[in-house]
Amino acid sequence: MNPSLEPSSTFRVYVLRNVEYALQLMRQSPSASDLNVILQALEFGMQLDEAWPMVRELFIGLAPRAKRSDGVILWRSVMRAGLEQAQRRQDDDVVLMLEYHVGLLCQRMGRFDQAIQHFQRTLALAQSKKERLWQVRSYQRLGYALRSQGKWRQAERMLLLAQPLMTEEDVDEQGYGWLVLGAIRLGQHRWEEAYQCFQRTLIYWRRVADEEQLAEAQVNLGLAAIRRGWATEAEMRLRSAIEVLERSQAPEPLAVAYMNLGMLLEHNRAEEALDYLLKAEKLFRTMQDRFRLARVAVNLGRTYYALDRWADAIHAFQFGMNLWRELKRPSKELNAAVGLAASYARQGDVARARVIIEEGMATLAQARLEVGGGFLEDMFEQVLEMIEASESG
Amino acid sequence: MGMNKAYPSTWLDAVKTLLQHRGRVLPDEWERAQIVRDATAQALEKDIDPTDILFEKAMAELEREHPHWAQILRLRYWDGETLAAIGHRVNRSQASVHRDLQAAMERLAHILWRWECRAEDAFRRAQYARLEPSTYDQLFGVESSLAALERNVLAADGPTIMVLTGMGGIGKTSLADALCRKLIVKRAFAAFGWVSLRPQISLWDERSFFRPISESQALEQIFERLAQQLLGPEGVSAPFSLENLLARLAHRLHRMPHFIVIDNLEILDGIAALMAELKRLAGPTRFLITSRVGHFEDPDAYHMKASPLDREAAIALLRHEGRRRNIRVLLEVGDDLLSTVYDKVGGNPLALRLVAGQLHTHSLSTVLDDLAQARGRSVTRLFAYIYRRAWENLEETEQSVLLAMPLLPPEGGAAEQLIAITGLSDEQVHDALETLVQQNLVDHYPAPVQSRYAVHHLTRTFLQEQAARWS
Repeated sequence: MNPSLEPSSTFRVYVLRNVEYALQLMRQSPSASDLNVILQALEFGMQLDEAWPMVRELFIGLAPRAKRSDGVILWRSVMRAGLEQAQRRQDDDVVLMLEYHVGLLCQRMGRFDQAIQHFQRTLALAQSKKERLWQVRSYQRLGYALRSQGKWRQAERMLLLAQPLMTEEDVDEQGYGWLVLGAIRLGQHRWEEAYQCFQRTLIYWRRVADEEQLAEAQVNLGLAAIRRGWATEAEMRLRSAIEVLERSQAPEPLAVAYMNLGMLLEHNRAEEALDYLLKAEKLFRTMQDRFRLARVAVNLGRTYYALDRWADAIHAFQFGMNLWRELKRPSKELNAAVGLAASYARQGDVARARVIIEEGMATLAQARLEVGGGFLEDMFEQVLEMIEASESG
Repeated sequence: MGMNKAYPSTWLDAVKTLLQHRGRVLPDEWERAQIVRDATAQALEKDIDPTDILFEKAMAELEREHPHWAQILRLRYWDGETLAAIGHRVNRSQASVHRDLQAAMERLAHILWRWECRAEDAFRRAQYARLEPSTYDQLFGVESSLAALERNVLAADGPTIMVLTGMGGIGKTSLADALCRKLIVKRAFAAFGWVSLRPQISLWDERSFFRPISESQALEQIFERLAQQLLGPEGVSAPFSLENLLARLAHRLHRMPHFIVIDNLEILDGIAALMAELKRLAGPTRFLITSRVGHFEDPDAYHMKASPLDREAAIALLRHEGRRRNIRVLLEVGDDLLSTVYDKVGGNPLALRLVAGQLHTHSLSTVLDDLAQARGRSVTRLFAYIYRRAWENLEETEQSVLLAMPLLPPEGGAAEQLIAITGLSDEQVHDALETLVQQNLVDHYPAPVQSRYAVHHLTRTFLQEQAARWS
């Protein structure tokens, strides 16, 4: 054996150099294969004390990227391993940051309970370290997670707790707080207030001068405007947002903007709506966002229906209905079933339409919906009336 | 399959039967067709007949090409009109309508066949892409094992979960890979999946470099990978949950037969929960698991052992290495000397390849003398011995590059990364890689843009476990 190469110590040097190499890759917007190199470098580097300064830098750089990447499970496992190492080394700054980002990943996976736990730990650490801005971030993400569970009051309480900790200089978080409150108001069907909240977001985020962030605020304002019945304003806001988001290639807000614009146009300009809804559908498929995919499928069904394309409408409603069933949202599933029954009836398959209505009514009776049950019953009855009118006429 | 190949007469017969019976009869030829499988997969979510989807699309194309032919096909087979009625409607004689109908059916069969050729090509490309790059260019002595595996996999009443066991380096992964490639060519399954489990790295741990991964962690990783491969982006749900993912996979795997390989199961710290999920997903889907250790306690897992090469196959492998790596001695000596190598190394293909690699720098007699010292040792110790000898015979730059290899991603990395890690020059790294590839210590995957280099996982293990102690 060559005496000049001492494998054990040489390998330590190599681990360090490899982390350094990964750090260079990360600084130059890494490709997908570069990310594999970085993840492998992290796996080795994490275990070497002398590599930690670079490893923590890698984590700090990588964490925000995880939000938009594929392979959520892989990212979560790497971030969790990093979190473990940071805790072992009592590197509270990295613990804080990773708790927060693991929470965001859990939220993206729809694991709101786990996300809440991570945000609670971020909050506790931020409080002990007297990290004002991290406390604000934690409260507001807790607010968003609670809102996603339909816990409006608790979500709002989190936002209230964040409020006194913020200064007027924290424009990012000020804007985000109003955005979450707007989303809560939308959920509560308080359209006017939602609109006002999103306007406040816009005011704050204008000061950041981040085009993409501003466009995101416009998308939300556009939705609130649709709910308020202000079609012209909604269209203007959504179109301006789309223009920016198409340039910046931000898939999530862009897909939402397409969906909202499609929804706005589906009654009067169905051909145009179809174009936007299909674009939204494509993006949601790529993002693996089944909630929004289900929503856009039903909008597509309605648009095809408006265009008298019964077979396409049937496919879209059926797909949306299946998805909502899997997602265990009975009211939305039944809403899609109404569209499906109507489409079958218009196609001339009255027997199929009747079966869907009967099954829908039975599900409705079992589901005991607190909200919207009566409305859905009316809708099914309207379709039945349509069938009967066509049979008698 | 060539794009211009004429369709077989059975294809035309199948299309005619389908037109005449309008979905009530499905000819075998049609059921096996890739376009039908693709349409069936698309139709799983929707309550529609895949044949209807295909015929509607093909008729739309025929309408663009030959509107008259499409019209009479529709009148005859969709509306059920007689030849006489059609003749009257289009102002042609019955004989002329009959001729046009024949031509229309042939054209329709041609359109569908063109799609079928494209679909088969796309299917094979997509399935190959899911496999890992093969580490071999030719396999030796596996014919009977491969045939037995194939028989079991294709038998209607065959086992749904098979475990292929055998020592490290024996070629379990290669055998599974060869089986997959064979089944892909035959399109024996609706789709294929491949998941390789990777152990966690436990650097500086005295006991072991690799740490087993927990079963719960592995479950999520395995099924997320499978969902990405088999269901595509729309199949993986957001919000994510394992239950949701398993339900989606079960929906697909129970309706269409898939063949799925899970490689390196030995790195898990337990398999009960995984086996339970696989049993729920199996049938008509089949699973093949590779593992160094058997799981005989599970009565539902059918075990097969990957056997070492026999003498004849081992000699053939050594001769092949001689041709591939230009090691003249392996081509010139008689079978008796190569037989001595087999006596000392046994039938482990990786061990044989590594020994062959040493003949680049050493005479056969030196290598045989060396191996005499390892005689009677366990396979693990034989490998340790062979690796150690290989290491000692390398130049310092070659050792440096080899030592850096485990830091590259498991699927391989670029020479550029090795340059950064070792601090050697471009030329030094490339020269070292050439030697290491020749000695079978490093695998090379050439590519038009950037070649990749990787090491066998045994080499990786030994490098780390031994390198840490060889100081």
